Amino acid sequence: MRNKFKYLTITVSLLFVFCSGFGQEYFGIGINGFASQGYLRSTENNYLGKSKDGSFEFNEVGINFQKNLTENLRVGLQLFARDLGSQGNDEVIIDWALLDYKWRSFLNVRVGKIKLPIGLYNEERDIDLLRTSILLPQSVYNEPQREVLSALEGMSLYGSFDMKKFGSIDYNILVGSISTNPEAPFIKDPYLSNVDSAASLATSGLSAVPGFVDVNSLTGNSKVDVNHLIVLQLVYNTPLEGFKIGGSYYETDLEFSGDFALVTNFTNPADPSGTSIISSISKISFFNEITLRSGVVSMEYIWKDLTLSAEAMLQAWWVENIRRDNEVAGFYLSASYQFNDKFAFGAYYSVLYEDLGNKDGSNLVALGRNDFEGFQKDFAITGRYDVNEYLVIKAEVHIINGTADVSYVDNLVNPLKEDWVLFALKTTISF
Amino acid sequence: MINEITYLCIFIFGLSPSILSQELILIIHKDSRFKSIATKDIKYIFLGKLKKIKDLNIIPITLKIGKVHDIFFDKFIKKNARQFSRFLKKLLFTGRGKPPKSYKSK
Repeated sequence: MRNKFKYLTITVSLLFVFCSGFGQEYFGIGINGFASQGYLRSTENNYLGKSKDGSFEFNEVGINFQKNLTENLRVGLQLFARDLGSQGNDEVIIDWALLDYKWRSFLNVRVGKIKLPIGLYNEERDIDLLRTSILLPQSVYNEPQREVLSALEGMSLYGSFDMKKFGSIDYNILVGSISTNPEAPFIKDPYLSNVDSAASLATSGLSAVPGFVDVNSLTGNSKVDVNHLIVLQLVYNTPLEGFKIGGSYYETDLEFSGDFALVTNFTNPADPSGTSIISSISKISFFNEITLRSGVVSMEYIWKDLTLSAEAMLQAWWVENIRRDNEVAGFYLSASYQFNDKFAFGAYYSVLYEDLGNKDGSNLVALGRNDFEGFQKDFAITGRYDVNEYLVIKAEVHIINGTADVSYVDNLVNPLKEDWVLFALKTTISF
Repeated sequence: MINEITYLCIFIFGLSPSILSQELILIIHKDSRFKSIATKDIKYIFLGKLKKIKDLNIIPITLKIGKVHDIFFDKFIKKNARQFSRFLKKLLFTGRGKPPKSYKSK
């Protein structure tokens, strides 16, 4: 059924593309959409799915409807489904749905489900055709957190101040809450890979874990409440054409509660190869209050066909129950060049630290983990080919050192490797 | 009021192809109360940042493709046709806005 939906949507999209120009409009309702299919393969470490064997669980499909109700009032909605390893699974969600009232250039309001303007590219991360790269730099645009940090339900005030010869400033203020999926890796993985997991287990009456631990499933009564979320973004468009700098900040309180089944995997001492494991299952109730604050500073310069960008992110976590804090940090430098109407080339270097106070990951060794799980350094190069206005094909190579962003869930049996390469292919159609 | 909106929309179609290689002339209907418009305001109109000038609603309209379209956006919006197309798709797919209506010919 899931696949049927996917291919039905792609087929409908193709029909739109080849039977018409960009977009359709019926009774003043604009209809547009896109569909992407990708492929991931890694030399080591399963990443964003079962990539070691090659994974086609990498797609996005979206269709939106928009109408101007008056000269100042617009209504719109986008349906969206995606699959990326264990994320999404092609479940159709409302990506955004809003009323947008434009009053003056300096003050406008949106209400509904609104995409989050975190960094320069978070709002557009679902739309592959807007960028040169396939994967955005994971140091700032972390895929496991994508389901949680995509959109909020609430309202937004936004606008732009013209400062004449000094450029202009765009602002965006959002308040609201988030509906989250408790199966998201963002929620599950901390129980596996985070230094807090050992403390969580200890409070649950378990001792040290000799092997891998897997949160197998969160049961029906588990839930995640995002009590409030505030997002602020400022972007200064400098007098130098194409050059802008910006900053984003958000803070939220998260409450995780419920039960989960914990599968503890022990290495089998009778097996000298170490490949077979013994599992035990425990059921654990939990309640965690987490405060998350994060900031991103950004820079982008577009000069003719060259785009340069750089961003840095700091994420501060506070886990109330065990009174622990942690700071995740990352940055990237990126360049892309459009050679002609068809071909573009891009590259970036991205660095992520799981704990800013322990960049080399040495503290993880005492917890039975590898030091290279504390960082992830990624050099990526991409080629993009626009077949026509509607169809894009991309190929990308990542040379990666470290596994800070690699999921334990996807790598339970094989030990993590420090140096690895990820290949990605993706094609997108839009109408 | 409606007529004035319409007049202002028309200026994009008033580009003269004969002078495309050198300079552009924007033509506004003679009955419009606009005597001039800042280049920056034109840019903001097409980027969706400016909806009103002197309490008058502005509705931008574009040509779909062609030299007039390309040169207009290069000179006034400071984006080439491909960059402007991606900008419009960004508006469209992120919920930020609805792109201007476009027509195949003048």
